[in-house]
Amino acid sequence: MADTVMKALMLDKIQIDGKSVLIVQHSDGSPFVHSLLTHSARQGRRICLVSFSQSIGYYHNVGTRLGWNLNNLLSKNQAVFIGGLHTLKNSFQSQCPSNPFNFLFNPASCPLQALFLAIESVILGWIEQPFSVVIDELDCLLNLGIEPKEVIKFFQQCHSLIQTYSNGSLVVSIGVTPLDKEITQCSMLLSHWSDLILTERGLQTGKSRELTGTLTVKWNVSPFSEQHFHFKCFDRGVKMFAPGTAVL
Amino acid sequence: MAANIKISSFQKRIKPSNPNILGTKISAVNSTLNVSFGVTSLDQIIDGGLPLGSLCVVEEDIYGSYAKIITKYFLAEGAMQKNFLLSASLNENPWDLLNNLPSPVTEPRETNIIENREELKIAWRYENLTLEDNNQRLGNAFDLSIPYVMPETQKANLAVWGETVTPNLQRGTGTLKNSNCLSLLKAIEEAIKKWELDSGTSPNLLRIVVSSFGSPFWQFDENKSSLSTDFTATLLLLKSIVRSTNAVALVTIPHQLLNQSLVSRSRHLADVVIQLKSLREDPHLRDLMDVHGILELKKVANLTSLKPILGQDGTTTYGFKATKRKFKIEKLHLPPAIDDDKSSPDHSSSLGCSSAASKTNLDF
Repeated sequence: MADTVMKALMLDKIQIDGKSVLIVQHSDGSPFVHSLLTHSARQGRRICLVSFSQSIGYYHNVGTRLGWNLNNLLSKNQAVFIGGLHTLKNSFQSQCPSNPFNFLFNPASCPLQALFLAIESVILGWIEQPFSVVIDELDCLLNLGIEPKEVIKFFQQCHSLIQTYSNGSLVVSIGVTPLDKEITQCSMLLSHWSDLILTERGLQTGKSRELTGTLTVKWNVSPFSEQHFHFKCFDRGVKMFAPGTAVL
Repeated sequence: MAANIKISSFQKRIKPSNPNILGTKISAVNSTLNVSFGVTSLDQIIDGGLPLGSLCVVEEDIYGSYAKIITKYFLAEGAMQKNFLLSASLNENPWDLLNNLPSPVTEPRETNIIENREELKIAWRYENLTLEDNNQRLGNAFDLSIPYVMPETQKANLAVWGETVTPNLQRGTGTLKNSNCLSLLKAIEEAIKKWELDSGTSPNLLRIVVSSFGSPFWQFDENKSSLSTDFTATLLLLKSIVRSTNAVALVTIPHQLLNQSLVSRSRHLADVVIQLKSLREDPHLRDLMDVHGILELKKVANLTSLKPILGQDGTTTYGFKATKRKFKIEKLHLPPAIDDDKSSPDHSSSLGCSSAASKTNLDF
């Protein structure tokens, strides 16, 4: 089922190398992060997964439903998990400077430096092979008290990593709400730098059994297209529909 | 003589069995362990209860009264199941909540015996059975008017955090500055260590309740111009703590007092978000419905797969009726449209679609 998502995003025809994808979530865009992770795993790319608000077990559980095994990849060193709830808890218990979340408890002039260095050290080991850096829920950094300008700087650094090593790709997801000006401004700025922007919204009138939400796919490079889809999440994947055809 | 001669080298693989954790049930949908709320109708709409290790945020109604009832049921269910309980509050003395829990009620089972039954010729196997209600609630019911007398052995399973309990508050030096939050998180860590809940083999769980998190007592809003990120950072840290231990956290927030963007950020962070709205807040709706308030499931995150968890029949808005003996959650419906002459005059301008004849029923 991840194939229907890839077809909709046109990623079955366009190579993701050297491109950056931004997922703007208004309600719950996690299905697309998982679909892109599945796509990367199926293609055999190395995965560097950075998470701020979920645990490793969550990605593994959803991944097994979608057909790939995160724990397996972690043990074979084809995937690296940075951050996560476990690291967050450890940063509270033992305040060691190499923990990426140490900025919560000890003052630091450049709070995201530890995080970026961790990602960079992983990537430098992989520059020969195709790799994907997937950052889930970047807005959690704003929730943890980091200034928006630091978050933008961090994104720029990750983006430049991808542009230097052209067989890598960057996937960033950010959750926004219309009321929150800071996050909306951040996401608009990041969308100017990204090549592919997926904007996920829930249905305007509530929730439904037939449909989970709507997705807008916008390419800022070669196809230069903008398309709308409806999608429905199942246990084992996501199905995409043209607007209005879900019930057929 | 040799005592044990091994005939084959076959060894049965014995999986280390998970200890059965008190107070949890395996969910039929996800195979996660779900913790009961204490309110059976709420458990039914959230797929059996809160997943173990999750953070639930309850957005309080305007005076917080119904939210307090729900936290009491939650703690009472924990007391019945002999779980560890931790109550944290700055609004009031946290011991008040723990000492005034409702006591369980055992309802008499109604069995309808069919009188004058004819002998069943075809379905003769069912002859001796009595009619039972198929929707019998599995779970405890609580009575708010009778306080629960906790047995002495269980008093050791309680912990609190509040104003009187915590001295020496120091402000943090990193981005998480609020001293109340830091001391709350430290107290939770200590409780978990004391009861050894992070070992992975504990047969019990900890129910954490934080009442009115974000109210002015917590002193979040020193810097009026920017959003208080200590609020969201504490929620995220709380989620990280409960996710790796046998614990479940219920945090109630007075969302009408807080900045709306803060509330929406906390909705993104939490696993389950429930919003309570009492009908006292909205006088127009009062005559339309015969419920006491509206309960909305703003978010129920699925921690094991992509499939969204919707309530019964795909709705997420329910009405609730809270009485001393029951807390019932049901689907919303309009009361029957009977022409009544007793409509009060102050409703005449309320409904936009209504005619000038001040009828309170919706007239299409």
